[in-house]
Amino acid sequence: MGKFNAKFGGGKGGMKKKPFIKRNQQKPTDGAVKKGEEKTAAKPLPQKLNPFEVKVNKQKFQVLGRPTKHERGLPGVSRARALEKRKNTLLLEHKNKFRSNKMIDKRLGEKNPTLSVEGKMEMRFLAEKIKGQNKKSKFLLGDDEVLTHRGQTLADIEKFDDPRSDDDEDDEERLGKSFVSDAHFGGGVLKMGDESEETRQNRETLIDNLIAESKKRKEERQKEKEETDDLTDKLDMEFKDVLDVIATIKTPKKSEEPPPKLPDSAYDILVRELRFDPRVKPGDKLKSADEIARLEKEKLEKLEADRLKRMKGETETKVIPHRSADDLDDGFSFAPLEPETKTLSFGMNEKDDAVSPEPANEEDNSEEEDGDEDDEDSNSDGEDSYSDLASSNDEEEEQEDVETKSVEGKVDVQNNKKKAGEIPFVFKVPEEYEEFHQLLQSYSDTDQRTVLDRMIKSNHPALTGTNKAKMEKVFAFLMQYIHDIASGDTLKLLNNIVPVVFDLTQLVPSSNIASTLLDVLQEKREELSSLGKKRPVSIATLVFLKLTALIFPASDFRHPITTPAFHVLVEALSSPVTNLQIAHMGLSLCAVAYEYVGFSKRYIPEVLHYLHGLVELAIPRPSHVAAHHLVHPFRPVGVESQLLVLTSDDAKSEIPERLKLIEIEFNDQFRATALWVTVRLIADFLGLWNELPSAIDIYHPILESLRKLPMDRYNSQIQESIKSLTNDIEQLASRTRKRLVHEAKKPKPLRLYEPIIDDHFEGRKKRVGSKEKLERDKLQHKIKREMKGAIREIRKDNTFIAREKLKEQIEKDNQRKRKVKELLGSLSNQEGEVRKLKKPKKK
Amino acid sequence: MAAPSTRKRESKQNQREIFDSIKLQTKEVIQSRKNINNIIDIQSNLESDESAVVKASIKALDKIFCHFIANGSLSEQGPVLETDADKKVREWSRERYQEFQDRLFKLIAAEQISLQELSLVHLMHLFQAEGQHPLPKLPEGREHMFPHEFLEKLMLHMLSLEKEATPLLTRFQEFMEYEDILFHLLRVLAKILKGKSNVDEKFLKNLIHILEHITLHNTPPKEEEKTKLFCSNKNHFKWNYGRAKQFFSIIWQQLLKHPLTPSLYKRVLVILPDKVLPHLDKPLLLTDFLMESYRIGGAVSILALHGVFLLMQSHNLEYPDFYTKLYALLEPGVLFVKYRARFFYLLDLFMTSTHIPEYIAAAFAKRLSRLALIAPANIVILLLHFVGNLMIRHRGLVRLMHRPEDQKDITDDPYIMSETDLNVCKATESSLWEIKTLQSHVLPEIANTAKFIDRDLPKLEWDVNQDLETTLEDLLEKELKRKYPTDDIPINFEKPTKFACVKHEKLSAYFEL
Repeated sequence: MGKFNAKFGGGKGGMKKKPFIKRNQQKPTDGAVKKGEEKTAAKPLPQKLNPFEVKVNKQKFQVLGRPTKHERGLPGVSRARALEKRKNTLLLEHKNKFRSNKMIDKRLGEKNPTLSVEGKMEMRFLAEKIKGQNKKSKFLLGDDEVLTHRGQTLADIEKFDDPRSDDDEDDEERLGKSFVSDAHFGGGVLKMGDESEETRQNRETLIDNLIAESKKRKEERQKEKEETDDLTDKLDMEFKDVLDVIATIKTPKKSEEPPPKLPDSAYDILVRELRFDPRVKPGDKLKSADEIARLEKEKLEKLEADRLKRMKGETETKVIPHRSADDLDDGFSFAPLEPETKTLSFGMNEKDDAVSPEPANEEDNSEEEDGDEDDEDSNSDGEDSYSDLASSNDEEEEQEDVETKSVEGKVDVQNNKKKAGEIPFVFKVPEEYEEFHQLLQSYSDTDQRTVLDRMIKSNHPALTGTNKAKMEKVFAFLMQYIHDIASGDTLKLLNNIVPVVFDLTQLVPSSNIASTLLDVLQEKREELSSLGKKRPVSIATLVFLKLTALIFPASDFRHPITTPAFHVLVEALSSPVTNLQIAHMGLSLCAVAYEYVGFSKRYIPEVLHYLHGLVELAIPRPSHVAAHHLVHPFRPVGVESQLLVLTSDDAKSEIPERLKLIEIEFNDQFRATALWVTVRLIADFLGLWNELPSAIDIYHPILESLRKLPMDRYNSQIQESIKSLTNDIEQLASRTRKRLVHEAKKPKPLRLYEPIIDDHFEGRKKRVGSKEKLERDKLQHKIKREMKGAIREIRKDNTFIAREKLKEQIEKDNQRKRKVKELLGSLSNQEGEVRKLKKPKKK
Repeated sequence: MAAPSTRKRESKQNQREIFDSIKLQTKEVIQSRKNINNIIDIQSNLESDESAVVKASIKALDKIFCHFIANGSLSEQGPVLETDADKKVREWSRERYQEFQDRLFKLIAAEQISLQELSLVHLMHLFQAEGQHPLPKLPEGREHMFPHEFLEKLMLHMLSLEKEATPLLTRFQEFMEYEDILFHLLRVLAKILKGKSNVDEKFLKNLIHILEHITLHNTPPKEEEKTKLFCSNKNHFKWNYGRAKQFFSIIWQQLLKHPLTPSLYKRVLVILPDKVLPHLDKPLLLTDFLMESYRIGGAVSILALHGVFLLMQSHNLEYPDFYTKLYALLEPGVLFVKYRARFFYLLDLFMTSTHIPEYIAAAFAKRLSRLALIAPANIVILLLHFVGNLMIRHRGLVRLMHRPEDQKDITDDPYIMSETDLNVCKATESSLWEIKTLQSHVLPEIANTAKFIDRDLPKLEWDVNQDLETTLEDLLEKELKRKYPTDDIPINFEKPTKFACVKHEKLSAYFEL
């Protein structure tokens, strides 16, 4: 390389090779050079930069805004600096190797090469002074040394009494311009011309004249100046007298009163009003009924697609579709972009379901519902009026209007149902829960929904900003109300309340609802741990768990509310089962659990474990024999392991299909029904989970327990259910499965040669990964860099030391050679002299 | 209203008078021996019904007798020149002292806990005084003697306490921190146990309570670390680990001869491995006991496991079919026992051996994953990590989760769960479908953890010890700490028309609201 560079001498490499170091710039210093001093030494460099010393690192691309650090390098200078540093540190160490003593020069300024001898002395003197000062001696004189200037103390001068300082003296003492031009520089002589003789004689007189003249002028000026001084002094004195007089005279006021305000003209007001009037925003085009329906459908489809995505636990990462090199960037793509469209059809079906009337098992409620719907219809008039009014901001007006309307509306309402007639159309949101409770209590169960509906409508958040807070309050009240209902003796009222709650959730920000519900759930969880061994889970817990599933999507893979709700559910199922009440509540919790996982078909081991335990509880066995499958939360031995065993044989009679949730008698009928419900629930869960790869392993133990049940003691319905369940489980065995394989790894994509295009480029490449990983990467990068640097430094140190050693060796060798030469020389001299002596003898 | 209050006041005044008199008498006795008869007056107060009076007199007598012990007027041998009268006085006061002691021993079994503790504390106080100024005549060449008989009596009384003795025994633990007390306690206990042939349950319970709190140490105390001595000074007492070990072994040998109730049995098993086994002369003598316990099954087996392991590890015990027995312990019940964390810690320890044949590891992996199918959420994570660790240790087990060469449809799991022989259960031919199933667990954390079988195994093992003690509560807390974007929490979009889900309604199908 070196050769090559030398050949093509003008190249960069050639320049780099030659270190042009000017020794006088960097005087060799003894002792360690401090960093600050180094910097000051380096500072003057750029002014005298030798262009051949500068190495320019060419940049391929200029990036705006990026700080350029290393665009210019001074290899020679930096190398010299490094060498200097080594000389001061490494070389010293090398020289002091194997030496135990060391002399430390502590004299001030001795190591600073820039200081002159005087400077050093000054420094030392100063230090001595300071030292003396620090020792506060009472005999220390010299404190009252007074510095003077021209015989005056500096303190006096510093008062600057006389504004006419001496700086203008020079000016005045100068001679006039014409005089100078005449007299100086031989001007006078040259003018004299040819009369050389005379001039030569006159020269002395001329100069004498000149001196006399200048002195005279100076004197005149002095005199003049003194006069003016006197005059100014006098003037000053007089001015002081006048000043008092001036001070007494008042200066006239500058500010004038503003012109009297004219009353605003109507025009002005109008202009001002117009200026502050909000600009009308262009509204959307009115949509036709078809369009609205289509939009609605699309919205629902999108929501369903989102739900499915969340269920799978996919985070919303943008998948960049493949872009070929030929892509014209016109948005055209050959492949269909939305593969999800197929799954959307599922959503459509669901929507149909949602629209269709409720399944058959709720006949008792259907009547009430009809009534409710009618109510809603009757309200539609009122609703319209609100929408018209929504544009006006005056609340009072609105209320008046509504009241007049309500009078009109009453007639219609009365036509339909009497009960709604007594309900006013406008409700204020009560301040306290007591009030709210009383308000609702004063209406019949079915009317409460209407009341709440109207309360929401008359305080709709779209009307005024403050209504949002009101809605939140209503939501909190409703939670409390539901809690009260749940601790009462019937839950039927919930059928009317819950739809309203759902409506509210669409109005109140979801984070608010979430935090409220989360608080309730946490409260319920704490309640669980305080239950003890004998008390069952409260009905309120059950109700709120169900409510959570109604408001929030329980099918999400992870959800801020429903996931904690799962935890609560699971924990509720883990409290020990010591009596029938607990078993009863556990069974109802299992039913709620089904609702949670109905969509997502996710597996809850605790639920199945619980149901299995309930089946085991119904198997009669001698009391001292421990049930093999009965483990926590059940007791394997004793009365508690026989909770569901029938005590008599009369349970064969007809039993109700459903259990009561509240106020239940725990008799044989209950035991039989509970077992029946358990079996049916297991069958339901089997429907959900039969796709699981180890479904057979999960259900096989249950099958064994089912076979042990005393079938002849139950009626035909129960027997039927048990038989069908055993059949279903047995059929699981015929399901095939494949051995596990890892997920197929994605083939590594070919390296693309097209630029990666980032939508939001922030000036640098984004690194992906967790916080810890990024930190780790950063540190590792640092370590690598430091390691490289350290190795390079060590290498340089070694070469430096080697060079020094070589130098020493050469010096030693030279010395030896010189000495040898000397010796040889003296020897030959001796020889010569001996020969000299011998020669004459021969003669 | 007035009558009881006045009576109360009267009784209070009465009490105060008694207190004052006790104080005065005590002072007099201590001041001069002439007033020694006051002791009888004070002692009569010990029988009082009011505990305050009893307490006061205990304190007073304690003060008097400590004074006497210290000045030597109670020791068996008086000064050389002694008159008969003096001798008589000494004999008499010794008798009174004995009476007082007996009374205190009786009071240990008193109803009131405070009274019990007080008498114990004062007994120990007297004990300390006796230890420093020994009462009986010292044999030639000895300056110091430890009052063994006193301690023996005390222990006998304490151990035979009928009622709840825990507060008293806990109080006694304070004294067990003193090395001399501990050493002599061991000696005394060994003596008592040797002498006693039939003991009742209470006795054993109290004894085990004491033993639970004895920690022997082998290391000689460092110079700067001062050993705590109760009533002997440094020149007279030196901790002799060898002797202590002997006594300790005797105690345990004698103790385990007696039949134990199940709860005591478990307690013994809990303390055996850490506190007892290392300090026995011949730990192998416990082999039979431990093997027998290990065979019983259930929680007892789990507890005995540690002891058996220690014997195997450090005393070359050979236990055939150890892993088969261990495998048999893996029943659903093990997930719910109290000592679960301990068990899994040990299990992890046993399975860290890389010399375990692969079929054993496979069988354990399979069995544990079966258990995970019914396990509560907090244990599932532990089990998953456990199985994962097994596979990391035995790389050959990868075929349980990745077997591309054999992709036929099968109907049954080749693994036979009911088979007890590890070699026959065909675990190696199976796949971990259980973990695949757990990927659809309802809790996202578990579902995510179970995904490890879909990928290559990590290089590092999971730290199982972290999961040992997790509770459902911990899991919930972890979940609640998770940050979600608060502005956009998904909400259902299908409106329920009543208190029922739009789909999948079950509650109202089976329950009347």
